[in-house]
Amino acid sequence: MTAGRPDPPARAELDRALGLLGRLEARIMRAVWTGQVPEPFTVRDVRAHMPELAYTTVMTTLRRLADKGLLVADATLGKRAYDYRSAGTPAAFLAAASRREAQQVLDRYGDAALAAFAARLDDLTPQQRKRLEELEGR
Amino acid sequence: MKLLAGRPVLLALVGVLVVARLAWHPGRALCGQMTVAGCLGVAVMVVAALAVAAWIGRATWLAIGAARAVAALPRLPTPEALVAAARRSGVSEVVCLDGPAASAFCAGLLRPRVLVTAGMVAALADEELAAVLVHEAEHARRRDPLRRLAGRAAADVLFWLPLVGWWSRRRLEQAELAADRAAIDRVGRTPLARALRATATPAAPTVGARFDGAGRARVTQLLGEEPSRRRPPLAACLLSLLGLILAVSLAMCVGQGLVSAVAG
Repeated sequence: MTAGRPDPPARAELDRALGLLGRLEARIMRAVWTGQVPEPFTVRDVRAHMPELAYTTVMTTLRRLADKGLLVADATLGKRAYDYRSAGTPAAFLAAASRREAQQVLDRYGDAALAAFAARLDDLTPQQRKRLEELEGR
Repeated sequence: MKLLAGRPVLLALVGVLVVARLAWHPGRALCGQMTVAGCLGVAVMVVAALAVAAWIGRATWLAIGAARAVAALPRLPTPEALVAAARRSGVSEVVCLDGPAASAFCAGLLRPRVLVTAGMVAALADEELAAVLVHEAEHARRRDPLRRLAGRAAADVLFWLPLVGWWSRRRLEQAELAADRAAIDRVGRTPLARALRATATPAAPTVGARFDGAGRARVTQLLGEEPSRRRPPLAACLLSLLGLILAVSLAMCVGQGLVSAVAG
């Protein structure tokens, strides 16, 4: 994504992706995804755009974003600070989030307000397992 | 206690209930104002009123949460394979969700609908997909999402009566067996068996998921055998009895307090 204002569909995608993040996380990722902070970047580079934030605050937030898979942290030999870069586009993040969401919805409401098809089959007896395989093979 | 394992909030509530009952020492004058029958009647009414109010609150909370969560899932245009399978299996409305995992479910309290992920469409053959759709359509016809909501809310609110939880899970199992019977009648055993195997969930249940999908009972029925009749476990019966005594006993004190306050 290039610096400046993204086109309307991309902006809608960006806003949806940022809406899934915390306030500070969203602020930093907006700067990264819109190219305001060129990649790779360090904590200092982010602070140059957001000087009101403490160094440790930015460092913690970047680590959290890396833990969530939005950023990739590269350790460079001889440098104490990590270099960060985006792990993917807002669209890729939205796709990954939607995959997680579908499973989370089933996990959370599967026995409350949804009727899911899948079942666990790990407690079948060996005989049941064999007969099920025979039935599948017909 | 297995029912409370992994549910710290409920465990804490049980603890609070026990401590509250032990700490409550109503005065002799207060207890002496009512007959045993009157006191018991007030207590039962207090327990019932609180349970109904909590059940409505819990059911509403779950319904709103589930509706929002399902509405937020990303939709895709319905692929041709899914439209064809729906037509063959007589399912009028099916929604395709984005996502690589093979999942299908029925959602919606007033107007239940069948939702299928793109991963499910890609993973199954036509006949297997038809079996899944018929299974889910039967859930929609029976309004199982609404029944589940009612049962789950009752089990959550009446956590001190483990029999309610057992009964709720038994109803879930019966609903799955009924949906499978519809799929067997319409599509056959083999496609259903293949679909069940292709979508089987991992052995270790995900945190939060309490119902295992009645896999064993469903396979038993699929193999042409009668699923075993289950009786409520003795521990659940005993705990429920204890819970009932505890709740009514606590409510008797509350009821007497209320009557005393109203009477001046």
